[in-house]
Formats: sequence, structure tokens, C-alpha cells
Amino acid sequence: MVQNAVSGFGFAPEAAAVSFPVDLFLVGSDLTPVKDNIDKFINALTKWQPSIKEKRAVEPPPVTIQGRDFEDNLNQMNRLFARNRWGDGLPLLPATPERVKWILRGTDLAPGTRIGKILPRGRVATVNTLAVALALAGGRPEYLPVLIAAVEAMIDPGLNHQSWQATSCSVFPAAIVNGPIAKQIRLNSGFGLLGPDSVHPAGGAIGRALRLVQQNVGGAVPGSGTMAQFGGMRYTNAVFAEDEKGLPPGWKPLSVEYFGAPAGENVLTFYPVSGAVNILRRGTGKETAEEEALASLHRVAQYMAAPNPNALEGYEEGTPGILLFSTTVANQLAKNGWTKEKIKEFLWENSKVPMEKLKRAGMQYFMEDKKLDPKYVVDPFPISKQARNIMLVVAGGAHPTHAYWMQGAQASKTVYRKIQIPAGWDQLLKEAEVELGPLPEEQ
Amino acid sequence: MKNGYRLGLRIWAVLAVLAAGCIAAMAAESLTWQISDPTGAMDITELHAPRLDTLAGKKICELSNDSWQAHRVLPAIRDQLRQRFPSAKFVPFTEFPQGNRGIDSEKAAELVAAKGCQAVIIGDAG
Repeated sequence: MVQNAVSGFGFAPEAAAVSFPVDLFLVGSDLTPVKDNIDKFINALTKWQPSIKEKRAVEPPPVTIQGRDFEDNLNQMNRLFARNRWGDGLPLLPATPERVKWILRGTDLAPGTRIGKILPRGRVATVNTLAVALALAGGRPEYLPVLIAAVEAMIDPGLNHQSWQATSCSVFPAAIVNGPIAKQIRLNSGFGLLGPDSVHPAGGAIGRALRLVQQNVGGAVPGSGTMAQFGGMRYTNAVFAEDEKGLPPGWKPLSVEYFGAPAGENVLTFYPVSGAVNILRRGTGKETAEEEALASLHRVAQYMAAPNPNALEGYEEGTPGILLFSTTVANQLAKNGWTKEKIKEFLWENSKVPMEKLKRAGMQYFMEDKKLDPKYVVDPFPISKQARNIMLVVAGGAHPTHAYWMQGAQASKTVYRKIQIPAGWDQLLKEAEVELGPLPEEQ
Repeated sequence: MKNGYRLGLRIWAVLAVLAAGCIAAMAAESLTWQISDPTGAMDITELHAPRLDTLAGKKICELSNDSWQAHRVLPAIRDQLRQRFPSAKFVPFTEFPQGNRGIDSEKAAELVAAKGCQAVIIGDAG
């Protein structure tokens, strides 16, 4: 953890550090270990020496794998990746020069183009680094523009990725794509959109590649670089598309409504979330449509009404969470007069938490710690500064029963990036159609 | 006897040729991959500060990310160091910005310089 932190600041990945088991840091702990280890502190301040004593750029050399045949090489490579903590527990494909070159057809950027430092470790991700990650994750060239946009978004300073990459909270990125690219690359917006998905393989591969970048470049190795207690759904993160075709009349896509991006533009929205809950939304069939709509929104609002210290970081410019309504649900609500804005306003109003409940949950201390502006500390307490902070996305299988809530975590603002399409895009899509078959039918 | 010796030599020679042939065949059938290291490049732009010769008479400052009992652990470290180096001076973490964002701020860096800190102990529990 500390090695990652100093590396992130541009130092060699080593530090004069004294570490203790977690027991020392618990309330009412025995502090004797401090006395027993005081020589280590003195040594760190007076005797410790770094092994690297000059400023320089260090490019990792290629790795040679030599075996009898493809199968032997693949086994050797996966064992090597396991030993080096470069994998995710599942088999990886080889990032040979040929495969990386193939993936690089998905961008006009030169392979050496620097995307930025991935914290906390702070190693540098280039376009080539991302192509390598996609090659390992089983990706394809046409996925690369989305991965580049996702990594660009992730390292936006407003997202505090250095914090949630390392935290004990099991945070994972959610990346939502708007625009025609979603359908073109088979990114799912319908049934099973959060995977696993044999029909739309793009989200799994892009999200897995993003996760590999987070770990291998950013240092988020479980238990040492990321202290995420549970990990939770981080094999592939959450990479999916909005069901733009299923939007009710008058509803704008997320990228347009939330960020003001031009309609039809390929845009990626990025925000870290800390979990996901399925909400049984529909009624029993005995209610009127109006009653069902109202009851379902109340039910969703009550799931959203939680004392969540992790959402305070983004209270003003972040989002308390991402809510998924299927096209069926969105259209049912729209037919009953619910606009997107009206739904968000209703959910915000009805998810306010009484201050007494918050105090019982100790939230006042978190509000002080996070230096939440006292003007927002009102009774009942809204889950965000304003209703518009809530992200409402039309996505999921066309079915009326469920909604899905992904609770926001630890980023101070929401971020979006335009997705850049390379020259030769149509050719890439033609090749994908030959290799993967015709585009899946709309669900 | 002599003939038997020659025959043995011939058999060994044939075996040696066969073994060499097998090794050559195996080498010809081996597959080499040059795969990319997935960890990206490293830019070392900063060097760690030189260590102090002793803590005696030095000014030692504390920074705290304000997590996990930092308010107890940092004073405990201070007390122990003070016992070993009575002439050392300490600037407690309460005189600097606290929290992950606080200790990562320009203000914290400016204060460390302004207060003449010669060593800094950072409490970074997370």
C-alpha cells in the first residue's frame, strides 16, 4: 500500500515504512507494539536507503515464454502471470506483438501515446498498455475506443481514483455508453447487461481489461494495493450501454440529460459504485397502473434512503447512485405522466432520511469528517445535494418486474468522455461480423 | 573382445546421433512468445530524501490521514521517540491539515517547509 502511494508520487516504489497488524488501529487497542517497534521508526528515519537513487523512466522489458507448443506456452504464461500477481484468477490470452497490433487497429493514436498515471502505484498507461490489457482479457480492436475513454475518465482528478482504488470499500467502476458505438460493438443494454453475457461479449472484455489496468498499472492488488474487503463483482466491473431505442418519448439519453453532450455522440459516463441491489418493483397485479407506479417508486426510494458515508464525498457534484429502469418500466411510468425529471425529483424527495435516524447511525461524525457544508445538513437529510444528481438510466431486459440500484461511492464528481472512433471503423465492424456472426437481434 | 568393444562404440555413437536428432527436432518444434509485460512504464521523477544522521536535536513533524486511531497512535510514537531523543522537537499532527485530502494538499507541504521539519512521520492507515 505504502509502496504504491510513494510510487504514485513519482518516487521509486519503495519506502521507509513501519507497518502493524490491524489490531493496533482498533478502538481501545493495546499500544504496546509501538514501544516494541520504536527502533524500526528510528531506523526508517536515520538508516534506511532506497535501492534506486536516480531519476529515470523504466520501461518493462518484454517477457519471453518458450515451450513445446501453443498449449504449453499458454500454460506457462498463465502460471507466470499468477506468480507475478498479474492475473485475475481466470485464464488470460497472450498479449503477443501480433495480437496487440491487431487490437491497436481500434485507435488512430500512436501506441506510445500517454493516457496517464494510474494511481495509487502511479505507473504510466499508454495506448499500448491498454491494448495489452484488452489482448489479455480476450478483447477486440473495436472495444479499444471504449477502454481508452474509460481510463481517461477514471483518472480525471474529480473521481479521486487514487482513493477508491486503495480503499477498504469494495468499489468498482460503472461505465455507461451512449451513442451508436454501443450497438456496433455489441455492448449490452438489455437482458443480462451486467453479465455474464455470451451474446454481447464487449462489456465483459472491456471491463475485465479495465480491471487488469487498475491492478497491474495502478497497483490494486487485493490485500496489499487495494484493501477492498469483499472485492465484489470486480472481474469485469460494470460496462454497459443505455437502451436508447427503448427510451420513452421525450426522455433524453443519460449523456444528453446529465452532461449536455450532443445527441447521437458516442459518450462514456464513469462513476465508481460500491454495490448493486435488485429491487422487485412491480405490484401484484391487483393495483391500478397509477397505484403500482406510485408504490414502485416509493419502494425504490426506500432502498435509496440509506445512511451512506461513502456517498458524502460526491454529495454536491457526484451521484448517490445509478438507477436502472428497463424500457418496459420507463414506458409504463411515462404513460402515467412520469417524466424523467419528475421521477428523479420524487425519488430524491422520498429518500430523505430523518436526522434522528442518521444520528443513531453515527452519520453526523462522517458529515463533520467529510466537511459537508452545514447548509446541506437539514432534517430530513437528502441523499444528494439535488435531485439531478441521481443517475437514471434506461437499461436492462424489457420486463416490468425489477429495478437495479448501484450505490455511488467516494468520487467527488461524475465524469464523461467522448469516445473517439478511428479511421477504418467500418472495416473493423465488418471483420467482427465475419468473426462473431451477425449483430444480435434487439431484445 | 576388440570387435565387441567396437560394436559398443558404434551403438553409443548411433544413440548419440539419435539423441542429438531428437533434441534438434524438439528445438525446431518449440514455440517462443515475446509477450508484453502488463504493468506499464514507471517514471521516477522524485528521489527519496537523505536520512538524518541522528534524531537528537532534530525537528520531527507528524502528518495524519485521521483514520484508525491516528489520534492515539501518533502520540504514542512521539512519546517513545521523545524518551530516546529528549532533545528532539516535535510538531504534532494537529498543527497540519488532516485526512487523506489534507495531508495531500499544497498547504500541508507549505507548512512542513515553513515549520522547518527535518523529518516527517506520516500516519497512513486505510
